Parts: sequence; structure tokens; C-alpha cells
Amino acid sequence: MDQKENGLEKFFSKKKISTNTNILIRYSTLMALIAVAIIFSITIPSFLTIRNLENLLVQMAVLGIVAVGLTFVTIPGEMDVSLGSVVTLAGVFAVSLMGKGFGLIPSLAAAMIVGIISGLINGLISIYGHISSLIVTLTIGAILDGVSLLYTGGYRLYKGILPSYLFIGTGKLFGIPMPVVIMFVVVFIGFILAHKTVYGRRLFSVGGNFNAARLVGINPKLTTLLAFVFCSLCSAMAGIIATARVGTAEPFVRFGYVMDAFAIVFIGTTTSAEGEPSIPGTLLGIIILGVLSNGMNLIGVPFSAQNILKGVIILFTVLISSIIRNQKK
Amino acid sequence: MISRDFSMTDNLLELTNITKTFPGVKALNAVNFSARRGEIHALIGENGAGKSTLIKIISGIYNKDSGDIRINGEKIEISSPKEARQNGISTIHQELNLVPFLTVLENFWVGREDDFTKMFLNKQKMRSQTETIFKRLEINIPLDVPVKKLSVANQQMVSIARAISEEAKILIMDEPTARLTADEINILFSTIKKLAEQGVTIIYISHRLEEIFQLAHRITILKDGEVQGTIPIKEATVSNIVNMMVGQNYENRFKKVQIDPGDKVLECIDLCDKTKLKNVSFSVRSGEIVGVVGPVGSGRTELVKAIFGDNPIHSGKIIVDGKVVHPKNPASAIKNGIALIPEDRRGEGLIMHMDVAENVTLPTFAQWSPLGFLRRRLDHKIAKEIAKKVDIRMASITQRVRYLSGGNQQKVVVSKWLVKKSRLFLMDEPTAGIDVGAKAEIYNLVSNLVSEGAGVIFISSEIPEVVNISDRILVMRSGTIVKQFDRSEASEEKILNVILGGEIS
Amino acid sequence: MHRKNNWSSVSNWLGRYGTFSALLIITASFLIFIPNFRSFSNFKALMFQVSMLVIVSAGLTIVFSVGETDISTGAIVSLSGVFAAFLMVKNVSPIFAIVITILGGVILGAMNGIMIGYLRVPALLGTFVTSIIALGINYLLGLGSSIRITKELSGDFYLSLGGGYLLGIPIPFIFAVIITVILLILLEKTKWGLRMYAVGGNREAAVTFGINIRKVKLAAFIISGFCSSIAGLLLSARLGAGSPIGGDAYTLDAIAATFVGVSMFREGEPHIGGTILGVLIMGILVNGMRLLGISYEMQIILRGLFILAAVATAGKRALFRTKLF
Repeated sequence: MDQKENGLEKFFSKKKISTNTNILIRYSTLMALIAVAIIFSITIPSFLTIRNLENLLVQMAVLGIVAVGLTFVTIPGEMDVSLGSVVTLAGVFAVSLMGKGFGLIPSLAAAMIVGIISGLINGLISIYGHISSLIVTLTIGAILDGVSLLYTGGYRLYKGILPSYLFIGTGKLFGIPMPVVIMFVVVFIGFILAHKTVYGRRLFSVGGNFNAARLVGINPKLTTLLAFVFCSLCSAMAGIIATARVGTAEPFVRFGYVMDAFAIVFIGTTTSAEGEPSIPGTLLGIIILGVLSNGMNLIGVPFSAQNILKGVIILFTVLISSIIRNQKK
Repeated sequence: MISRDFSMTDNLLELTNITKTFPGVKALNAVNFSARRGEIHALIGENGAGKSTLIKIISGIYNKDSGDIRINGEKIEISSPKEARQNGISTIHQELNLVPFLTVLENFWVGREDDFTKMFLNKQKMRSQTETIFKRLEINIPLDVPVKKLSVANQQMVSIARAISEEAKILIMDEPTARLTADEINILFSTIKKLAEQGVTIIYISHRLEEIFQLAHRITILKDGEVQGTIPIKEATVSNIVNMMVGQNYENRFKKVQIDPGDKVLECIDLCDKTKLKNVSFSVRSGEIVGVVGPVGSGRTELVKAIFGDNPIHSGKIIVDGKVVHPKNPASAIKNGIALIPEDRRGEGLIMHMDVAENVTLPTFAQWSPLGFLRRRLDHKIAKEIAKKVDIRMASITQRVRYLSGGNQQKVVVSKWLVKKSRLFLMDEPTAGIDVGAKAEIYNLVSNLVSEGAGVIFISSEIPEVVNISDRILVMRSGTIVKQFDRSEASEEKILNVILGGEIS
Repeated sequence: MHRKNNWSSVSNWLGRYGTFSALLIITASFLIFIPNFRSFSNFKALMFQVSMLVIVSAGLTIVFSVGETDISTGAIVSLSGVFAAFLMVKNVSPIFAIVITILGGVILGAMNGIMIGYLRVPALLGTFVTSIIALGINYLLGLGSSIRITKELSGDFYLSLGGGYLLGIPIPFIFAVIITVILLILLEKTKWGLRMYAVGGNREAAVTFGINIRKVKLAAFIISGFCSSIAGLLLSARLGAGSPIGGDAYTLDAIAATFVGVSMFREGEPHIGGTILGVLIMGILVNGMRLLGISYEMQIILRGLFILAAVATAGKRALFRTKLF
């Protein structure tokens, strides 16, 4: 009110996007997916084969699980960029324990515990220490990387991997690859948790209006803390699957996870009427990104160009959800 | 008080026929207002009378819908704060409008250093010019102290000095004495009088009549967006001012049903919070509506927030239904049967992007979702019943509350506690920004609540409404209760007298 | 009036004197207990190491002064090195490559400034997006591997910028001094600097004072992008290669260094002088850790803890820059 906005700002914040336009934006993402899928099917002969589709899903499984976890953290407006580091560390722990002779269950449990503890640390420091979650998780991620390196001494771990563990990554259940099964289970659980439980509604309330949520008796800090824990837990599960697929745990971090996971979640926000993250939206994002990456790989687009594309997608979706959110204010 | 003789042609600022409407509310209606050169012109009116709208139009924050503004006889348009400044209009705000960690000198010049320099700050020149102005205004503040270390009074002085040095011809001051000590007020007043003598026009808003009588040359009384009168201070008395501010301004659609009060639902004993409240003591009985009035900043909101656990308590006791409670957070207050309808319904009362059902069931839906799973159908069923009871007008129970009218939004805010069967309702300005018809519906709602045994604290800035609905009325000033009225002895005049004049007889 | 509790006075004191005392204590103890620390060659190595970080941090300080954050610094540093190397491999003359790279940094900074100043995108989000785009371009150019800058490619001049000496002083250090002095003068002695502080200190007041908030923020981000690209060029000259990950550590390190310097001169506010001290502390700590033989991994962990501590003790006032929405 106190400063007249310039033209660009006026466009983005004052222009009332009519309901029709809003719906257009929301479905445009789905339509874009369908369009791209059709184009790929027509132009790339190997796209529509079962083998390729299977490949596509498997490739997306690990990332998809991470993205589901990230969705929870973005609902109350926080960030988590320690995802990749948790994936790595969880896998490292699981494989190293098996190498020391522990059974399947203890090793899996160890990986999960890594996730839970990381989530707790992230959440406690960000929320109760009043420090930006971005900076906290960036730092914790760096520290976890250091721990991975320290623990493994820089070496790959592969000794002592149990066949049952490998099954998680390479086996099939009713003909569907295990990673995909697990991903769908996680998506399903995430969906129920976020959209069908008391906790989920509380989380969305905190995201919608922190103060209003507090004044109706919700504990916003605890609610958000749990989101951080669930997010890191998902990353840990992804770590298990990733290492189970290749049979080794590498302490060298893949940068890709963070960027891709955010791209997926942000794509998901364009499908909501309020520019909000959601699990169905994230699922759509997983599929879109999967199709795009798969198609580009088949064509032979270099990895680097794909990265730029992802960057542009994030930029667009951030701007769009900013617009949607701003003009609701 | 200075007695001066003004000729009619001395009008510096003239507002004719100013009208301003906001959605649903006519804030100003054909207002005529003028101020002469070197005059101290006081503006008075209840909260919501239109004072802040008027000065926001003068200072360029709002645009008038119709009417003329003239300065020195010339018609002008003020469409932005910048234009207001260019026309010599400056506002001294209550909140600190300086950069806290910059020094007095830096705050004095930042943004207009072009006067001196292309690039480098010429500290010498800045200093000497500042000293000259400070001397002229007889201000004695060190220049190299960060402004945050100054007292509120001195910070105000810096703002005033800057405005004057920017050749402000009209200075608007909005409740400037709110946080000043008696000595500081005296210094402020002598500065204001000096400025007036030097030809600066001052528009002075305050609810403290005693100050206005000391300072002003003329006083304009606003009520419901209309000017009730502009009188020279010589002809003004407390009673004729109060008379102009008072009166039934809408049809009395509300018939109060008397209920025999039951046991005490709430008792506060010597309640103090960390910053504002001082020794607040009162009680509320079941079936009672206790109105709370007072000027802005008197601590009404802080009081209910303290009871609700949202404002840490320093000392004192809160007793709910006979038990001493220590509400550490809203959740524990809610468990004790207390409900809060916050002042800011959009910012604190509703989750705007959620629908009616979700908002209405927000405090309670966990009760009937024992396994942790949402029971949407049950949510909707219960929400529909409540919405019907309270007559919320909406497209459907799944319409997002963002799209409801103000009145209906407020009904959602209140009705979410109905399922909870709270014993004590803390309502902070529950009818603010709502049209007349919806207000009546809220009154009925409140009436039903108390008839079912709850106790209600009803904070409002509309005195007629409070007089109409309350069984007892508490008047607050500066963080403490200065007088309690019973329904039988309460009247708008009496209450206004207490608020304006601080009479505690 | 708010009663100041004990914690805030402690953090106040920490802010004012803590940094300097910490620097003294650390330097003194290292000088005493680590023999190699005293050597001249180590000192020279130290100067090289801190130069780049100081330049980035100084740019970041400007962004902090307008009340915003920038987490794209590291990505721009990396991208600049790769970009310059890429250009030179394509037979662009070194001077041209330098100019174009700096221009690139300015453009990325402007992108930040427009998103955050004009489009009201929150700083964390906007600069995050920029960093991702920079990363993308980075991979596009170098495909993830370093691009060697050989003498034949760039001539002595370029490489000497990073590794050479002038009058016995490492050239990057000279750059660092020049840039920090210019930025120091900008912030403390010019009207623009004052306005930047005003924008960061009280936005509404700045508006009332007639300051154009958007332009000021845009300028701040452009300066930060500029600094990051210069640091990236110097880094690549020193390494003799455009490394795609060379600048990654700078993002957090610069933030930590700037936070360390907060409250040294004005409570809750950054200051170039404080940032310099922060960089020195970090540089000395890292240097000392290396001399002590602490493993690389352990160093990462310790650095992370240091960053957390720096941010946490900067005081509540400074932390508003770190909120997301």
C-alpha cells in the first residue's frame, strides 16, 4: 500500500486470475504430461515398450520416495536440502552393518534410524533454534557427507550384502520391480498421511496459517518437526533401495537428488488451486520428470542439458506458484 | 493554550466533500475539513469514526473516492505518499519510522543526501545543517547515537525534526503521547506550540481530551465517517464534545435477554503480563456478557490473549471454573474450556485456503477421529449442522472461506467453538468490518451462547454496541481497568467520559 | 520497554567483541602450538586461500545489508571458472573471456535482483533457483569435468592472475584488498551504502524516506553476482582449470563468515570489516586443521559445526534474513 508497484509487479500480484485461468494452469500440467507422453511415443520407437516403461519407473522410484518425504516438509513452508546426504549415509550404514555380519532387519533398522535422527536434528535446530531450515539442512547435509566419508574411509562398501537385501533393489513382486512396489507403497502411505489423517490436516493448517493453527490448539512446532522426521525417513528408505539396486554403497554424494526432488514437488504445486504442495501433485511430478528424463535419455540429450531443463522447470513452477499464492493474499 | 486570531483566508489545507467507501463500509461521507496556517487542529472520534481514513487520504496512502483537496486555495490530487510529501504533508507515526541501528544524523539525512553530494557523505555539512535545525527547534539530542538507543520521545523528535527540515507545512500526529512520560509530553507540547508559532500546521489526533484542551486551537469531531462539528477550543467542553460523539447510529435490532448469572466462570486477580497489563482484576459469570472498552493500546487484546495462554503472564492468578490455571499455550486453555475469537480474523482466525467444514471443525475434528483417520463425512455433517444453526451463507460446506463475506467469515470463526462447548468465550472485536445485518446475527449468536451457560468477554470499539449487549462493562486504559459499569448505570456518555477524560469518579 | 534478558546481552557482547577476541585467541594458539603455522610459505598459502572467500563474502555482505540472502554465490563462482575456461578453449582471448564471464555474473545477479526486488520472490527461493540454473549451465559447458586452462590457451597473464605475485604479494590478495576496500567505502561512506542499510534496517522507514527499495536490492544482488564471478575467475586462474565444483563450498562459508561479522559494528547488522574478520577466522581455522593433519572428512564436519555456531550466535535480529516465506 505504501509504495506503488511497478508494472511487472502489478501484473503478478494485482491481476486477479479468474477461476477459469486458475483451472487452466492446474490442468495444463497434466495436459503437458499427456502431450509429452504422446510425442515421445510417436517419435521414439523404444519409448512405449514394456522394458522401457519398467526402466522408467525403476529409475524414478528412488527419487520418487525422496520427493514424497520432501512434500511433507514443504507443506509448512520449510526446506530440506540434506536429502542426498541422508540417502547416502543410510545406504552406507545398512551395507556396512551387513558387512559386519548383521542380519537384514538390524541393517534396515540402522538405516531408518539414521533417517529419524537426521530428521530430528534438522527439525529441532530449525524450528526450536529459529534458524532457517535451508541453512540448517544445508549444513547438516554437509556434516552428514563428512560422516559418510569418515565412516567409510572413502571406500565403496559391498562386502557381505545379503541376497534378501539385493532383492529389495532388484527383485520383482508379481512381475513388478520391487523399487516400484515400494515407491507406490510410500506414495500411498504419504497420501493417506497427508490427506486422510488428523496429522495431515494439522500439517496443512500450520502451512496455511501458523498462528491460526496455534490458536486452535495445534502444536505447530511439533507438527513441523514430525514432517522433518518423515522426510528424512523417506530419504533413508530411498538410500536402502538405491544401494540395494547396485549392491554397493558409495560415500560420494549425488547432487541430483535435491534439485530433482524440488522440481517434482514444485511441479506438484501447480496442480493445486492454492499453489500448495500435495501428494497427488508430487506423484504427477514424479511421472512427468520420469517421462522427461527417460525420453531425453533415449534421444541422447546430454545430462547437462537435462539439468538446465530441470532448472528452468523449477524456475517456472516457483514463479507460477508465487503468482497463485500472491494474488490470494 | 495560545490564543490566536485567525482570519478565514488563512486556510492552508482544505478538504471539501470527501467521501471514501470500502467494500461494505462507508468510511467517510461528505467530510469537510480545513486547517489554517500555524494552527493546531485536533481530530477526535471513536475508533472506527474515520479519523485514520481521513489522515490516510491527506497523506496519500488512500485515494479519495470523491471530493476536493486544496492547498493554499489550489486544487491538488494526492495520489501517493510521495506526492503528499512534495506538498509539504508529513506524518509522524506511532511506530518507529526510523532505521533503528543508524545514528540520529544518518536517519536525518538518509534518502535525501542528494542535497549535498553526488557520492560521498559529507558528514561535516550534514552535521552542521542538522545542528542548526535542532537548535531552532530547541532539541538536544546527540547526533551519533543509534536511534534505537533513544527514548521513544526523542525518536519522535528526530522524526519531527526531519519532517520540518523537509519543509513540511502540515504535520500529522497520530496519538503521539501514547508512550511518553509526563515530562516528555510537556517537552513535546512546547515543541508543537513552537512549530505552530513558526507557521507549521499541526493535525493532532488523540483520545485524551486533557491534552487537546492544552494544545489545540480548534477541534473537529468525527462520528461514523461524518463531521459532527468543528469548534474553536474556547467553545469546547467535555460534555458537548461527548454529546457530539455519542448517539444511536443504527437501528437497535438487538433485544437483550436478561439471564441470571450463575457461578464464576472466570476470575482474574492482579493479572500482570510482561509488558502491558498491570494488576487486572475482574470476573465473569456463567450467562454473563462482559464488555471491554478502551482506546487502542489499552491492553484489551493482551488481556484476552493472556487468559488464552498466548501472552506470557508475569504475575497474578487466573481461575477458571474454580480451578487455578496456568495457561502456557492455547492448547491448554482450550482444554480448560476457553475459546478465543481473535481480532484479526484473516490473520489469526481462519485458514483462508481451507473450506468451511475444515475451519469449523478445526479445534474439534480430532475428537471424532480416534484412529487418527479423518472422517470427512462426519466433519461435513457436523459442520453443516453448525452452519445451519448459525446461518452461515455459503455456496456449500466445501467452499473455501476466502470467498465468504466478512460477516460469514466471522460466523465461521465463532462457530468453530460451538462443538467444543466452551465455557468461556473471549471475543476480540467480533463485529469489526461487518455489515449491520450480520452484526445482529452475531449478537444473537452471543446471546445464545450465554443462555446455554457460557460466559463471554466482548471487546469492542463501538461503544453503543457494547452498551447494548453487555451485562457489565470494563473500561481499560493503559493496561489496567479504570472503571467497571453495571448494565443499569452504563451509557455511552459516561463511558466516553471515562475513556477521554480519565475520570474515575 | 522490553526488559533485556541475559541471553541477549551475552549475544550482544559476543557480537561486538567475541569475533575479534576469537580471532586473537585462535591465531595466538595456532602460532604457539602449531610449528608449521609460523612459516612464511604457510602464510602465503593462507593469503591465497582467503582471497577468494573474502571477495565472495564481501559481495554477500552487501546483500545482507539490504536485508536479503544469497545462496547462489558458490554456484556462480563455479560457473564462472568453467565458463571462462570453456571460452578460452573455444579460442576466445583471455581478456574477452574475463569480460564476458563477469558480464555473466552480473546478469545472474540481476536475475536474482529482479526476482527478489521486483517480483517479491523470497530471497532464499529466488537465489536457490538461480543456483540451480547456474549449476545446469555449468554441467552443460563442462559435462561435469574440469576444463584445463593451459599456458598455450590463455597466456601467462591469466594464470598469473591466480598464481602470480606483485611485489611479493599474491595477486588474488591484491584483488581482494581492492574489492573489499571499495565495498567498504561504498557501504560506510557513500549515500548508496546508507540507503542500503536503511532498506535492510526498516523497509517502511526507507519507503517514507523516498528510497527506491527495488533498485537498491537489484544493485545489491548485481554486486554480489559480480563479486562471485571475479572470485570464480581468480579461482580458475589459481587452479589452472575451470572446476565445476570449485566454488561449492563458498556458499556456506561466505554465509558463515558474514554472520560471524554481524553485530561487530552495528548490532544485528553486517559490516565489511566484520566479514573480513570472519573470513580470516575461517581461513585460519581451516589452515590450522590441515596442518594438524585432521582428515578431510573431519574438517567438513567441523566446518559445518562452526557454521551452525556462527549463525546461531548472530543474534535473533540477524536471523530474519533466513526465513523462507
